[in-house]
Amino acid sequence: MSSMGPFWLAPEAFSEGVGNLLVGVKRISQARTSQILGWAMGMGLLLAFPLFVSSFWLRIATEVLMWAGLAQSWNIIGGYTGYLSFGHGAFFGIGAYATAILMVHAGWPFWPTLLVGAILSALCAAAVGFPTLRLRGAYFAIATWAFGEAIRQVATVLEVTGGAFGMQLPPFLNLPFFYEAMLIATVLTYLLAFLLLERSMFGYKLRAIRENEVAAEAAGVDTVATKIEAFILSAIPAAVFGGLYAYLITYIHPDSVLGPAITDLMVVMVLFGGVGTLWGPLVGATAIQLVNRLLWFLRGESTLYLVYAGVAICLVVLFMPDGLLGLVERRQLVLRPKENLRALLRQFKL
Amino acid sequence: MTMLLEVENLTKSFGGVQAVDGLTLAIQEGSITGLIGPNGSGKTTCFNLISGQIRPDTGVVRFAGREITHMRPSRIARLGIGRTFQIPTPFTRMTVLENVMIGAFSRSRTLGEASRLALEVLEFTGLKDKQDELAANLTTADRKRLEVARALATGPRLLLLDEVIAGLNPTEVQGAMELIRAIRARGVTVLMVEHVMEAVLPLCDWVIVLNFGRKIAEDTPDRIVRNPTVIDAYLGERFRART
Amino acid sequence: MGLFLQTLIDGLLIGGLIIVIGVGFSLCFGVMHIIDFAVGEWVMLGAYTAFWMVRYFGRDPFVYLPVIFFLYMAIGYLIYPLIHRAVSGRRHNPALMGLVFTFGLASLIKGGALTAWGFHVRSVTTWLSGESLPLGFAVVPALRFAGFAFGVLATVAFMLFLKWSKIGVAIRAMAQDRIMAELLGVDTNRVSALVYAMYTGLTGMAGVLIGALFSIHAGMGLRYTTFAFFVVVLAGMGYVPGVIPAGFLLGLLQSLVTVYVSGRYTLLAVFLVLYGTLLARPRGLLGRGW
Repeated sequence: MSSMGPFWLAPEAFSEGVGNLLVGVKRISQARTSQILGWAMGMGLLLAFPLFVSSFWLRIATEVLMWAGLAQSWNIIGGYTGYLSFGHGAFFGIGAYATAILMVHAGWPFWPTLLVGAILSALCAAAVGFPTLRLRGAYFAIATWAFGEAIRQVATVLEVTGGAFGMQLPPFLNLPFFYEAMLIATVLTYLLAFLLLERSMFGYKLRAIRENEVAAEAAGVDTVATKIEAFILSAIPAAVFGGLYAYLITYIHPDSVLGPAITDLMVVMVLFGGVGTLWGPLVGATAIQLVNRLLWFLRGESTLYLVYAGVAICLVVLFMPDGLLGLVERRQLVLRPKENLRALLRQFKL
Repeated sequence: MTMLLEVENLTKSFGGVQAVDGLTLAIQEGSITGLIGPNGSGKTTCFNLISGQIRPDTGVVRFAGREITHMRPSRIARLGIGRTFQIPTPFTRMTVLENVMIGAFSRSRTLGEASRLALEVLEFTGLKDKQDELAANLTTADRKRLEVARALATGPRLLLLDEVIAGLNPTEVQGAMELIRAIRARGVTVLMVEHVMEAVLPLCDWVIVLNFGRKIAEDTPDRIVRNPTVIDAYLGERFRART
Repeated sequence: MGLFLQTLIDGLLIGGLIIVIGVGFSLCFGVMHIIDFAVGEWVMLGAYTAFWMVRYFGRDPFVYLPVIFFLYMAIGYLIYPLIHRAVSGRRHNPALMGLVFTFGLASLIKGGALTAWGFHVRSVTTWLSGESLPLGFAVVPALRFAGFAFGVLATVAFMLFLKWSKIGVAIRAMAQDRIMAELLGVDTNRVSALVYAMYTGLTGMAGVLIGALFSIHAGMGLRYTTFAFFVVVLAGMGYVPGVIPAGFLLGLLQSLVTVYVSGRYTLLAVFLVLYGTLLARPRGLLGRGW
C-alpha cells in the first residue's frame, strides 16, 4: 500500500457500518419489547401521516423531512468532521439534474436515476476531496465553494441541462408518494449517520480530526482517507434528495437547485440545531423551515429569506455556536443576551 | 546489533533558519536515550522530522531497516513510532478513555477491542480511575500522562517523548520516571527530549547532545556531564563543579 | 494575431483591477487568518453605491471613489469586531466559525441587495465609457485602462503604506508573528480592524470601477468571490506580493476563455485551474503560501 493509501482499498466506514448494522439488528432482537414498540409506533405514525392531514400540511412535512435529511448530509462533513463544504448544494443539484436528464432525454424510470445521481455525486466528491482534503480546512471551503459555482455555471450553459431555462420533468402529482419517499430517505440518512458516526470507530476518528487533526494523525488515524470517505458519504444523501426534489417539483433550473441558497440553508439549519450532533439537523431544519414557510405566507417575499438565513448564521455563530441542542445540553436556556451584548460593545470600544 | 532508528544527514531549514543541520544519530532497540541541548538546537524539529509532521530538505530516516523519510505521520505511527507533543494536545471534548481509544484504533477491528486495549493502557499509566473524565478537565500532569497513554495505545516499538517531565512537581517527576522505566520494561524503546537533567541523567542509558541543529556529543550520562563542549554549550558550570 | 494581442491586453488590464481586491483579501488572511467569503459582496456594494450616487447626485462615478473608500472603510471597521468575536470564541474551532460567519455575512448582504434593489441589471457610465486609446498595435478602451491605472495606483499606494507608515510596519509585524507584535506593544485588535477596514474600502472602490466596466446586479458578487479565492490560492495564501502575478494570470485566463471559448465558461475555467493548483502546487505558484 503506498504511503497515501488509496482510500477505496480501505473502506473502513462501509465495512464498519455494515458491522454496526449487524450488531444493531442483534441488539434490536434483544431489546426490550417496550422500546421496540415505541420505535415501531413512532414510525407507524409517521408513515400513516398522510392519512389524517391535509395536503397543505403534508407538503410542509415533506419539505421539512427533505431539509432534515439535507442538513444531516452536510452535518457529516461539516459538523462531525469540521470541514466546511460550502458548495454542498452542488450535490443536490447534480442529483436533481441527473434525474431530470435521464428521465427526460433517456426515458428512464424514476428510481434508477437516483442511483446514477448518487454515484455521480460520490465521484465528484472523491475528485474534489482528493487534492483539497490533504490541505487545511480553509482550502477545502474555498474549493468546494468554487466547485459549487462552477457546476452552476455548467448547468446554465449546457444544452442537455436546458441551460438557464431549466428542465421540465414528467409530472407525477402524488404528494403522499413523495412524502413517504422523503420520509424513508431521511430515516435512512439518519440511520446512516447513527451507525456510521455515533457509535463507531469511523465516527470517533472524524471527531478526533475535528478536535485536533495533527494529534489524530500522530495517533495513527489516516486523516486524509477518513475525510475523503466522510465527504463521499455526505454527498450521496444530498444527491438522492436532489433527485427526489426534482421529481416532486417537476421543474428545475440552475438557480432553484444549484443556487447558493441551498447550501446557505443547510449550513444555518445545522448550526442552529447543533453542529456535530445527531438530532441537531432535525431540530434546525424543522425550526428554520417552519419559520421560512411562515414568512413566505406572511410576506410572500422570496429573497428576504436569504437575509434571514445570513443573519441567523451570524447570530448563531456569535451567540450560540453550539446550536439549540448545545444550549439545552448546558442547561442554559437563557442566552445571556446582556453579557454577550456587553462583550460585543467592549469590542467596539463603546 | 542493528539500530531501531537511524537518522542520516538530516537537514531542515525554515526561511533563513537552519533548524537541523546534517544530523546523524542511531537509537538502539530497548534503550532509553536522552536528547538534550539548548533551546532552538533542533530537538523538537528532529522529532517532527522523524515522526513525519514535517519533511526534511535532505537526509534519510530509517526505522527497523525501512526508510520512512517521506511517509505520512499516521503511516509512521502505524509502523511503530509513537510520539507525544511538547504541549499536550488531548481531544478536549472527549473523555480520557475515548482519547486513548483513538490511539488503539490502528490495531483493533472493533470498537470493543479498542476499548479493551485502551483500558489496559490506562491501567498501565495510572489513569484508569479518570477514564470517564473529559480531557479538558485534566491537570497538566494528567494531560501529559494522557499524551503518553494515547501514544502507547498505538502499540509502538519506539516512543518519542517531548518534554514530558518539564513543569511537573518533584512527586510527579518521580512518577513520570517510573512510568518511563515501566515502558521500557514492556519492550518499548524510548527517545526523550528533556531539559530536566535530574531526570535525564538517572534514566537514560545514552545521551545525545544537540546544538544549532547538529550533534555535538553523544555518550553515557556520566561522561556527558564531564564533556567540556557540552558544558560550554548547555549544561553550564554547575555540572562541571559537581564532578 | 491582433485579436490575441487584444485579448492579452484586455486580460492584463482587468487583472490590474482584480489585484486591488486580492491584495486586501490576502492581507486579511495573512494578518488575521480570516477568509472573507463576503469579498465579492463588497465589490457589489461598491458598484451599487456608485450607481445610486450617480442617480441622485449626478456627476461621474470617479468623483465618488474617495467617498466610497471612506464609507466602506468605516463599515468594515464597524463590522470587524463581530468577525473577531466569531473567530475568538473559546469553545469552538475558531477558524471554522470565522469562515461560517463571513459566509453568513455574504448571504446577508446579497439577500439584502436582492430584496432592496431587485433583479434588474444596472449600469453606470463615466466620461471614459466608450472612449478608447489607440496604442498602435491594439485599441485600448479608455475605461479599462483607467481601471488598470487605478488598480496599479491603489496597489502601489497600499504597498508603500505597508512599507513606510508606522501602522504598515505594525501590520507586517503582526502578519509575521502576532504574539511578538503584541508583546512589542502593537494593539492587535485595532490594527486588525484597520486592516479589514482598508480591505473593504479598497474592494468597494474596485467595485465602482467594475460596476462601470461591466453590469451591476445583486448576484455579481459570486463571481468576484470566486476570483478572489483563485487569486489568493495561486498567490499563496497570505503572501501578498504573489497577488500581483496571480491577479494578472486571472485576468488573462478570464479574457482568453471569454474570447476563445465563451464568456459563460469562465467560472468553470477558473475552478479547473484552481483545482489543478491545489493538486499540484497547493502553496501557490511561487510556493510561498501558508
